[in-house]
Amino acid sequence: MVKIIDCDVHPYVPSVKDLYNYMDPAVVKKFEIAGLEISMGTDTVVTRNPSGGTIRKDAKSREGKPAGSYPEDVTEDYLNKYPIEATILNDLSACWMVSQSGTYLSLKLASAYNDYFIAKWLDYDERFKYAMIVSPWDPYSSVDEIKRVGKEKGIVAVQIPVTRILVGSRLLWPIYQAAYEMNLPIYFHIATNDEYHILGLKSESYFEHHVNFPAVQEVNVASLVLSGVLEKFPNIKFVFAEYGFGTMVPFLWRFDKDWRGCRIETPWVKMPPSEYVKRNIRFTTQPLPEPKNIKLLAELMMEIEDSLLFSSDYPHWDNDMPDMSLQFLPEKSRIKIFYENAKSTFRL
Amino acid sequence: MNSMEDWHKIGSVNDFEYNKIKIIKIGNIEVGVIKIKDNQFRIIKNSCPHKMGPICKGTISGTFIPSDPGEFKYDFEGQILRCPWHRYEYNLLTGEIMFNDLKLRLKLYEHKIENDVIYVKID
Repeated sequence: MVKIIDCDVHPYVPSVKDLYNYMDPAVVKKFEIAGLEISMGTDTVVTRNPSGGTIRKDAKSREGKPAGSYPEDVTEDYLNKYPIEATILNDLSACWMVSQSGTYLSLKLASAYNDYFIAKWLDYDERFKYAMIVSPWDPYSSVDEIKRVGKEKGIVAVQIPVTRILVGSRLLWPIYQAAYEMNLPIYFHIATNDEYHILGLKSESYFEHHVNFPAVQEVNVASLVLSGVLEKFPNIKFVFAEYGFGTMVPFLWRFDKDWRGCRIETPWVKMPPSEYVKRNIRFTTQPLPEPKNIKLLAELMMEIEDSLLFSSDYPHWDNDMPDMSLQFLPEKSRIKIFYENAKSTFRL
Repeated sequence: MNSMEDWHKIGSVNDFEYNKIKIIKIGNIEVGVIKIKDNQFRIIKNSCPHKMGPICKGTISGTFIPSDPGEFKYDFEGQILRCPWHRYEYNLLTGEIMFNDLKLRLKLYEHKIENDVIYVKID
């Protein structure tokens, strides 16, 4: 197998109590008195995975905690089984908690999560890399957070929870500027349910929620291009994780066509949108589409092969394990997607 | 002047207003006659090279040139013809498409002015 950089692996903090060492005592009291615990949107509302949650039942776990709670388990159960040089860790509960909290608590949670992963995971195995989380609700404090921990070894990206604010919004530009100054890409992962408000949707099921991930991605890719972010920050990479790339190529056909007729509304979009997307935006591969005619998928992937990053989504149910993924592509493309594209995207 | 390859008289200079397109039919071909500035004319085929839309029924104006995010810079006043169908813009001086990755060009007909009379050559 070729060398691998896995761009989407999910660790968990076993309990909110594990974050207490990284919080002010008064904030800890807030959690204790309120009885707050870590939660995930998809586990607390109607969109819970219908087969009992999103985590693989076979993935190594202990003490009744979710798989992914301990670096020892992820190392043994996943890292050591494949030629993995690096994994990009991002905790979806962090994404949920930080995005769903009020602004002040959101900031404190983000800092606690960052300190926890730096202490517990990055020191454990150098293959673990972390997309530090920041709050979308106070960009200037998030800039301070990036300055505080962004230089730490093993921090390779800045994750911003996607909310009902489109990601091209100038509200987020200070975060982009700070990330740029630290040579860190921006990382978005579907997670919060809140982002569905962009579409004005309330999903009726997990199934409906899951199949519509690409729609959330499309509105946000359009936002990045049309807002001028990619003109302002031509050297930042934006990673969309787990939204799916399968619909992106036809979306870009439409996007380019519309640009030719509507360009005067956004004259700062100086190139066809697809050129910005290919230059600045990266998409993780999982969940890989599985068409009956695999040649069609291979051709579609060739259109954006420099934009694709392999991801397993371990330890989630719809994972793509490396040995079962991308074998239908030529070796040169597999090397790019499994390794080279990520190497040039993240601060590795 | 019986052959389509001949020069066709289409009117005198004063018959046309600036920046207004007059559509004229010569044989089976529709052309738009435009007085752009300083008694200069452009005579174009009434067919957008993109999807054959009736481009001479489009609008003449300037356009917004590439700028920094949030800025609007307006230029080329009176030189831009915008197709009514897909809003592609063309430079009336050159016929070239503006700020577009498709390499399209208006069909411009050769013309001449003799004693204030305009002639177009349909090839």
